Amino acid sequence: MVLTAPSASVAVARGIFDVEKRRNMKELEITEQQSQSTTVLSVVGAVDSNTAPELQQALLRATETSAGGVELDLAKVSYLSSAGLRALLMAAKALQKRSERLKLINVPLPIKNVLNLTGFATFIDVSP
Amino acid sequence: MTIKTQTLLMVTVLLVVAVFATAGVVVWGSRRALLAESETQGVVIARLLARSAAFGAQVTSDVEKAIGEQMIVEATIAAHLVALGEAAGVGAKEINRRLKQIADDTVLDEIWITDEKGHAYLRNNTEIDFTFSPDRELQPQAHAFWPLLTGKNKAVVQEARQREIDTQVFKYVGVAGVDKPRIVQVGYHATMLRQLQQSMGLTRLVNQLVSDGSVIAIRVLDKNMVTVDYAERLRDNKLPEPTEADFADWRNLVREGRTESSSEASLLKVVVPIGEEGGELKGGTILVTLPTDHVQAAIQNRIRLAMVVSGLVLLLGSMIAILGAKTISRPIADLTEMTRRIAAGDFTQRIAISTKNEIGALATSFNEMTRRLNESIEHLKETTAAKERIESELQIAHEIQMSMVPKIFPPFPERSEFDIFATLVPAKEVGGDLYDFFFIDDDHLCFAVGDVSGKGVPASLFMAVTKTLFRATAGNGGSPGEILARLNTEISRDNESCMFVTFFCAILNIRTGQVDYSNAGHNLPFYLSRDGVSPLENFGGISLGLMEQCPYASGRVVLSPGESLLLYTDGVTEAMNPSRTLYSDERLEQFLGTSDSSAPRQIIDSLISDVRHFAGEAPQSDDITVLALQYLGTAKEMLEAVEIKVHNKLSELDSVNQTLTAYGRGHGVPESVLHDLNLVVAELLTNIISYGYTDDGEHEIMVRLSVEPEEIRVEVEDDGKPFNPLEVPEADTTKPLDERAVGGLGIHLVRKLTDGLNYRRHEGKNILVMRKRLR
Repeated sequence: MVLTAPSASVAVARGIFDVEKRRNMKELEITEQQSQSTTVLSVVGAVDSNTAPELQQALLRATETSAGGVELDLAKVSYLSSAGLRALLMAAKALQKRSERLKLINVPLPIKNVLNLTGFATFIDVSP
Repeated sequence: MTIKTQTLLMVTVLLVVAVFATAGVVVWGSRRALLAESETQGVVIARLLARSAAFGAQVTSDVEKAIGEQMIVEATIAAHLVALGEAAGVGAKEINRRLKQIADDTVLDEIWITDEKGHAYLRNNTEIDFTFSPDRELQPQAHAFWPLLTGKNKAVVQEARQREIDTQVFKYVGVAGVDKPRIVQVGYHATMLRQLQQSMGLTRLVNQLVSDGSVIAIRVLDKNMVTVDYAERLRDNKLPEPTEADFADWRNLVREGRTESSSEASLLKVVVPIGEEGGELKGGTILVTLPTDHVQAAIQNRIRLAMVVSGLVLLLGSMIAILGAKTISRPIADLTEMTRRIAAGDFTQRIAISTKNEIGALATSFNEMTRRLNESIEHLKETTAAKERIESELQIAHEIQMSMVPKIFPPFPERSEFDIFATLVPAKEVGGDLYDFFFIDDDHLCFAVGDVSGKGVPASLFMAVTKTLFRATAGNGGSPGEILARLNTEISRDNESCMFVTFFCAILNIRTGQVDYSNAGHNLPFYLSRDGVSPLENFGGISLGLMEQCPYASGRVVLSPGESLLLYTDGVTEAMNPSRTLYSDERLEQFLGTSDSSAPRQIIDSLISDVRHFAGEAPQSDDITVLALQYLGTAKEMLEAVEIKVHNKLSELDSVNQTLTAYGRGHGVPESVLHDLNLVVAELLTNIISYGYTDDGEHEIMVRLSVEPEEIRVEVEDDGKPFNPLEVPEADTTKPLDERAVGGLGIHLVRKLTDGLNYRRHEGKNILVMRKRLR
């Protein structure tokens, strides 16, 4: 008894799908700013297994070059998948070697929930 | 240290002590005896000396008396001679010459002849001029002769004594003149007397005793402690002079009449007071110093002898000890060896020791012990074998019993109207709990939980009977109450063992969610409704098997999609922790109320682990059975649904995301729910695309979305290799940063961010149904 949607629904869904796809197909946007010794990375988009490598590279580069800490602005991130979490974990570990902590700012509530569920909030600073 | 060495050492020490003690006593005794002998010798010598001293003194006195009489004769002759000479007119000079000649020619030493006035004008030695005086003070010796002038005395005999002119000792005898008053005196030098005394008396004896070597020194003291006689053999060390302390000691001895001896260095001093036998010396003391060289030599001889004897005894003793120790230790060594062999597992060993002592007794006991041990082990082997047989039979029984309850989940993969999961954990290999579920017809699912009184094999047999009868009875149709009434009658009939079973039976109409139920004395199931958790209202009757022909009432509850029933046995609520506290109905109700999942499998898994956590180290006392049924509703109740076809490319994730978001927004799904669902779907798809396929070909994944009144439902279907995300172990999210591994978080998030998860494998496809409440 697999639920089957009426074919019309599928068609409708497909239609939406195509429109949305054209309008929103974009890469992750990451901008970097220096605020005193801290490097601030602002991310726009969904961090999933497609886009996580980009974030990971940007984060690792920032941790290597930054004299001080690294802040990640998640205000415009729609969601953060486990691949994104992995990128955060690697950055946090790299920073820990310098006794620094990764700091997340402007974290949307659902993402904050994810960070709490995974225990990441214990070693990454999360501010709303 | 071995017993042999110990015995040897002990015997040797004892021997050494005994031998040396004996030798010491003997040597000391000999020394004492020898010294006593010497002392006696000293005393004898002293007594002898005292007697001879008295004797010598008497002889001397007798001799002096005889000499005195002789001297009177000589003086009288001289008086007559002078009278004749002077009468004949011989001059003084001529007379003196004659007197000198007499003195020179004889032993007579001096001749003094005075005139009337006492002037000694005639004498043999004309160099000395002497005049007698009656003055006692002036002439203590010579005045005694004055009475010869006055005619008072005719003769004066004086004992030998010091004379005042030159302090020499002389014996004088005088007579009165024959022609006129005058003193005619003759004198002998006392040397003669002294020589006489020495040749006859004490001194000679003393000297002889000392010189013949048996005595080292002899000292004779008179009662005033003045040394009368003393002789000492010439040696390297001269004896010290007596001190005042010595004199005081000797005076004490004299007073007490006691003999004393003391030995110092190689000398023995014997002090003997002189008694009556000493005559004039009475009250004096004789000190005899004897050599103890012979004592020392004798003692050394005996020590040497003692050493030789001791050595022989020691040697003999040691040899006997070695033999004895060997005799004692050999059986012990044998015993030790035996014990080692027995410890190694050879119980056939017997010790051949026949001695009658304690070791023999030990050996006998040991053999007895080994025999009994052997018997016990044989017995144990048999028992163990029997036990193993029973255990293996019990294990088979366990498998049979477990196979009697449905164990394959999901049991009806084609049914999406409900989800069911159950578990049975027997306390022993087999138990009396049971659960069951089966379709009576296409639309009605019958499910039940029961608990037979008692545990173990009897309970499990009764459980098997009950379950078989239940299936048969339920197949005849009717309400749960009617089914239980029939079942009760069947079980009660011929129930000679008087066992009974509590039982809860329910029938779900999968089209409507209506559940009819009846309870035979069992724990009332919990109803997990949208409004909270509560036990079902009690409808039914008494436990099955107690009496035939009992009525059982039926109750009814209608489940809305997403609502659940949880059936359990008292093994859950009566699980005890080490302090014997029960898990309790309250705790179970509270647990169900706070459970963050409504999916049967997850509820049961977390409940079982909660009970185990509660019980801790305490052993499981009763069988634990839990059955959870969640009604999901029929497809008819679903709102407009969509199906998204995705290819196995990660690049398509974004489009699924967009579609889901658009669909959700279109149905009023809150943004936070959409976020979570997007994340969950992305995780699942990533997993499937990345790990689900063993080939490189193109595959299709179906994502179906539907919104129900209270929740949104997402179904993901793929033809990848079988993968049940529910079986992935829980990720540990409490580890610190440096211990966190990369990975495992995706499935964790899927679990945490959904309210219900249901997996089934159907026709080569993984079908995962996720539910998330809309608020």
